Amino acid sequence: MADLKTTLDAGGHCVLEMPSGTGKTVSLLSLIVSYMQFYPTKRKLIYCSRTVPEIEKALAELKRLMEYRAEMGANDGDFRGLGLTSRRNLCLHPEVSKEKKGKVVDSRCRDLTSAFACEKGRANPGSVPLCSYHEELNNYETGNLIPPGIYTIDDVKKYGKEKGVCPYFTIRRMLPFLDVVIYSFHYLLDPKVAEQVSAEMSKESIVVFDEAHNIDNVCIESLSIDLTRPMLDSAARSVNKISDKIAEIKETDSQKLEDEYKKLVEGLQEANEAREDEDMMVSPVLSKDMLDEAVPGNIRKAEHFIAFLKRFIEYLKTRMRVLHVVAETPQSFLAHLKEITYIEKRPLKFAAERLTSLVRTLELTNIDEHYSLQKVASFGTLVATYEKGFLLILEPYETEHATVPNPIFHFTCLDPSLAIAPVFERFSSVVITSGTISPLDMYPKILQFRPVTEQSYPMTLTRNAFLPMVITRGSDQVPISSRFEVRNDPAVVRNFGSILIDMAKTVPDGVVAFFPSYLYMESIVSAWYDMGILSEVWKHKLLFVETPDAMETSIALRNYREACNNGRGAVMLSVARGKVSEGIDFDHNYGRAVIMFGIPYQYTESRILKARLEFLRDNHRIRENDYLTFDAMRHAAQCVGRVLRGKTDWGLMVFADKRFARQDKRAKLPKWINAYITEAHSNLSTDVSIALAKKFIRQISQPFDHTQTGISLWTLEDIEKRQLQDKLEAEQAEIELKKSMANGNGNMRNGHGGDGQDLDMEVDADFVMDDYNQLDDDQLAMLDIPDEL
Amino acid sequence: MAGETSSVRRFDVDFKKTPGTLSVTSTHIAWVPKEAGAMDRQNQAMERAINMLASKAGSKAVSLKVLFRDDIPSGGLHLTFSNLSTREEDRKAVQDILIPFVAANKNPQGASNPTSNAVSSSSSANANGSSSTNQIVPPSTSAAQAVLQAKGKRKLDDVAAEDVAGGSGIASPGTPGTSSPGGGGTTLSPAARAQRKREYKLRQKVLEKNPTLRMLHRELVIGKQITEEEFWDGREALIQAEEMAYAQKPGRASRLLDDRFDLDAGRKGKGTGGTGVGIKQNDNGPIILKLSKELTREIFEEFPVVQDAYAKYVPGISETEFWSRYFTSQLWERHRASVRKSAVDESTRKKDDIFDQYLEEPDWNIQPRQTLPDDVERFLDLAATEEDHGESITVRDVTMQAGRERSALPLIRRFNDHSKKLLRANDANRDQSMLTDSLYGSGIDLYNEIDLADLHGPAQDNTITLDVQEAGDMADKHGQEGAGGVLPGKSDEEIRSIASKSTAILSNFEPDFQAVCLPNPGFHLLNPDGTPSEQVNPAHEAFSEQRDAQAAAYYVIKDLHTRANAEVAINSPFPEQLHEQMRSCHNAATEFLRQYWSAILPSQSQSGTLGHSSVQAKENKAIKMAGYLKLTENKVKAIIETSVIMGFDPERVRKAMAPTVGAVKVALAREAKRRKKA
Repeated sequence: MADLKTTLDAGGHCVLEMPSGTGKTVSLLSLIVSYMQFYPTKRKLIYCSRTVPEIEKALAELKRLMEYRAEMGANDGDFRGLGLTSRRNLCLHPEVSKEKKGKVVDSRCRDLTSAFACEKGRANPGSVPLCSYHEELNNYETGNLIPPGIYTIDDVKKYGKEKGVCPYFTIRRMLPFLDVVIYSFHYLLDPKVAEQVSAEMSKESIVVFDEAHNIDNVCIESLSIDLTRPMLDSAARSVNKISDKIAEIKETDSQKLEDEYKKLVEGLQEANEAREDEDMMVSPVLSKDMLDEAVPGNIRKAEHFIAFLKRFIEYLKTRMRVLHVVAETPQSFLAHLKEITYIEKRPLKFAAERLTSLVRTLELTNIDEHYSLQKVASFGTLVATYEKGFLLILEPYETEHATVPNPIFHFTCLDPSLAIAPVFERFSSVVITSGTISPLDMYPKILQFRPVTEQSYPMTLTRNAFLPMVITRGSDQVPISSRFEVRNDPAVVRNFGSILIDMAKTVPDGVVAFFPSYLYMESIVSAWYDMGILSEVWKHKLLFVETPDAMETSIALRNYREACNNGRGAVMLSVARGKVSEGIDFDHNYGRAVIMFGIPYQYTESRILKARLEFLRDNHRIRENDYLTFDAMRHAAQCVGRVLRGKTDWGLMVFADKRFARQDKRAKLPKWINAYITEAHSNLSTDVSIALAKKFIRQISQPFDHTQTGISLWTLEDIEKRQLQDKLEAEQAEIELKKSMANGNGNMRNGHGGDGQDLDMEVDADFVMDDYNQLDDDQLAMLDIPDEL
Repeated sequence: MAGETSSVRRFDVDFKKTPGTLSVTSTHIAWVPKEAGAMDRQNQAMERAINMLASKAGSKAVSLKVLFRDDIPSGGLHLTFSNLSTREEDRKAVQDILIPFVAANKNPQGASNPTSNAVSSSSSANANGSSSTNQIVPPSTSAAQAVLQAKGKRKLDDVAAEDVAGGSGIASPGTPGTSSPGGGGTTLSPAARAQRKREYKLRQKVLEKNPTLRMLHRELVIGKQITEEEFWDGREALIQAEEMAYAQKPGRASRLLDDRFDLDAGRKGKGTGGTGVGIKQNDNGPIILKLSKELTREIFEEFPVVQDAYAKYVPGISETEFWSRYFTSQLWERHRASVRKSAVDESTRKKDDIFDQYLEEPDWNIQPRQTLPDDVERFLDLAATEEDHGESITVRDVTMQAGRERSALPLIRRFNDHSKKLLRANDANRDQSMLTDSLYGSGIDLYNEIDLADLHGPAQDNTITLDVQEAGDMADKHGQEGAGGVLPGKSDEEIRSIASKSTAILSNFEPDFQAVCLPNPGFHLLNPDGTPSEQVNPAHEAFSEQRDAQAAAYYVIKDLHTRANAEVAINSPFPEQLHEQMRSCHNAATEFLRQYWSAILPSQSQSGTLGHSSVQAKENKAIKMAGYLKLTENKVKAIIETSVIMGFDPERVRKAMAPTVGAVKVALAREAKRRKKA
């Protein structure tokens, strides 16, 4: 907390690593909320998490925190906190909410709520179907759509149901008035969404990226686009449809097109003014000045633009016919494009925006049909906008051995800092935190920012709550590894299987196993089935496997948890970078052991990865192997860290690969895990490890005094003692500082009268008295908040 | 075929699949192979025959199994009558000859060798040995049921046979003393009879499980000291527990049904197609698959379509045909869902009009075919995240695309489904609302998900105040003591001085070994005449005094030690025979005591399955038991006498039996008092 406060005071960024499941969310929230409440200038908190379950949990934590504050007498007034998620998760419309796909929900919602639909519907009730929930919202006062307080996503839905208002638009319209917003990374990083959603956020806001170990991949993903042949075909169809529509409108209502043309001359900015809350069709980042520019003449007219798009799609189709791999820079692509089709860079840049405007003018419905066309247009815009840090790769075949061409045109971003740069620029304090972001210096390097603090916190444990083991050999002493050459070797497959069987036998309740990739998991699962390994596992536990469909997996997960709860015990097989590994906790009985089968390396044959590695090497001096290992280990640690939640929890961590024994791999694990891997446990065979596991389980299951007072929980006296000690030290330092520098006092920025609840390390000696004066009762009460640092 | 009246009769009989001839004389039964040397000759004395088992009437092979005493030859002789035209008569003839021997041999065997009787339940030997007279009765006709009413053989599982016999009115119940419930069964309603039958089975099971109880049962009930009903009276709990154990249905095997039945089926259900999982035998010929009830049930549960097809078609086509078609159909191939599927297999599969209509595309698309409910807790809702981020516009690399290996997907789906079914199978009766805790369900505790147990402050200790009587006094006393400190009644000054004194002693402590152990004064100081010199005399005296004292002390202590250990010294064990007698006597006395007290004391429940005891019945029982108990003392005396005869310490026997005798005396005293009162 002290480090965090230093950062906030200094108005800079920081990277913090805290062991998973030690209450980092609540620590962050409690400090920042107190901080915000203490300073009269309202600084907004933007808290970004990775998945919806995590957002929901963070909201719950916040809600509880505020309840606690209220209990302790803090007057938070009309403090508001909400979480934002997609329409699909919030929709209450009886029909629309039945849709499973987010895209479809968005599109149908737009049909019911867009400005023109509303206008028509209100002018002539019954002519156009409207969403009653959305209409109801207009009866509420702007900025007070929902009473103050903290609402979880489910709370908002419940509220919406009661009052008959749309939860999604409630949150959207309340965004500027909120004190705390919790949403997913994408709303801040993805330029397509960020412009819309996060534009109103003040510069003073504090941004927290929780679970940020994967942030660079999110950044890259948000600026990359892949096109496939079917997509292009679909885009071509959309173009034809739109041109039909244009012809139709021209006959009936040519005035409309005229108006649009005029607007476009004035510039995109004004054209956009009319639109309400439509984040449907948003262009990729365009700089402000570009928005003010007039749209180039040759695409201003609707027919012209359509012709333009047709040509562009045709060109891409021709490119896809090539049967060998092509990698080129955006510049060379544009040059070639110009040569063949006479399409210039400038109009291409506006393609996406122009399409949006056209769609709006034509009042098209069912936008999801034109999804591919949007993608093509954004592709064009991105290609024309960015020159550096991007690469175009055409892969005619999916795999090395495939014979049927299935061309994919990757437009890939190589530099994650491009997407996050606006965030660092705009917001004064950005906190990046996670349980597993070792090594800490990697992130500032690849995201290109300068943190004020980088800190990794160890875990204070009263007993060894987890036992990490590295299994390198099977019981038959055959080394096991998920290395590509040996991974399908029957001996290795069997040894992996016997680890699973033995663990299923030994460990109570839930066991989670992670594989490096879907492909491997699917092949190994069928191999195990044929070898009869799975029927062995079934004797001891039920078996659940992650499937490609998210909903199906969720249901499997629910059943898994039920099996763990009722004592039947279960095994969950999933993939290290997959859906389950992100954001699902396997705490307590839901995960008494995690097994990592192999090291979750990325697919090294991927050309995109190769290009990225090259980029990292050239620009940041990061060796390929270093990055690959770093990437693999952070995912491994992430998976393994899922078992622990709180210090009363315990679990086994099994790393089953002989390469985990190597020091360079282990060094990249977070400190709090690595510290517990002893040399003796780093090179085990299956039978020995099972014996160890048995011993561990017997020991850990003994009754244990779980009160952590004095170790990880501090009482008020403990903290006061510590503060006093710190102050004395600070005074001492101050005196020495004064001696050495006559005017050394001025350049120290710190909390004038810290808010008393953190362990302020560098309180100015002059302000010690003030400190005590300002400690009012409720803040003193806040001291009881668990302090992990 | 058979010589009508000759003393030797010959029959064509196969033994161990070897054709041969069976010769039966008045004393021996012998079998000789037709081809010399094909098999060892068999020759057994008829006196040793203890049982006969015949194959069911109408079964393919007409055979007879004769068992001999001590199980030699092991398994008995299994004879198959091979002369097609006369085999039935042949067997009957042999049986007729053997019956008297078997009946005669069975009687003494029955009591001591109950295990051999286990097989007799399925017996259909035409033996009807009347217990009291050993009189041979002609075999009963159609039912061909054995009525083994042997006196000592109150074997419970014979009740079935008894019931049949009772029903058909052929055999009368044995001696009245046995009070066979089966015999009285003629007057009972069928329902009550079924109930009784079940009870007997349960009792038998209890006995089987509990050897001690079985021994007691044999001694008392079969030894006709008390009746069956009396024995079980008060032991309802045992029977109930047994019943519950059997009523508990075994859950589904968690193993996934697949085509490799041989994996563990080979071990489990050897030869018995009915109990195994189904055995696939592939000896270069057609595949033989033994279908058990469980297997079909499992298949039905796993694949509802098969059940559907079964329900539709099976009356039309035979069951065998149904299954054989199923296992050769493509549908089965699909259901196996194994990844290794050979192309040859695919082509050889023939079209099947029943099962092919159930064929559907394997469920191997990314989207599952099955429609899924949309109500997963928010904390597990992966779809929410996926849709929240919008459709990913990038394609993941090959290895990370889920569901690329299409053939694995149906398999994985089956795993999940199977596990789910197993999970649900256990709590089918459970409240359904528990399973479908929807988004708005009250079951989700949001805070529970984010709660960290270790961050709770130390809770107040959950101490329970002891409810001590006169707690106030205790506290007062304690308080006084507390005020008194370590040494009550002394002032601080005194204590302090004591302390300082002690410290001084301790710090200046020097061990004075001389005072404790005197040195040997030595011999050289003796005078030449052997008397100790005057100077050294005191030292010598002191030394010898101490030595004598030590010696005396040693003897005393040794004596004490031997005395102290006398009780734990290992005595020679009781002679086997004596021990047996004592045990039997004790067991019987205990049982009588139990019965007596249960008759005297007010019964806690009148609803016991066996407890139809009215007050009068109880009174009678008490008197009867008291009568038995009175005999106990004499029995003990008899045992003591035996021990005297055997030259064993009678005192030890008496001591060993003392608790039993004491308990009996208490009961008798009580009985005497009761009678006086009455």
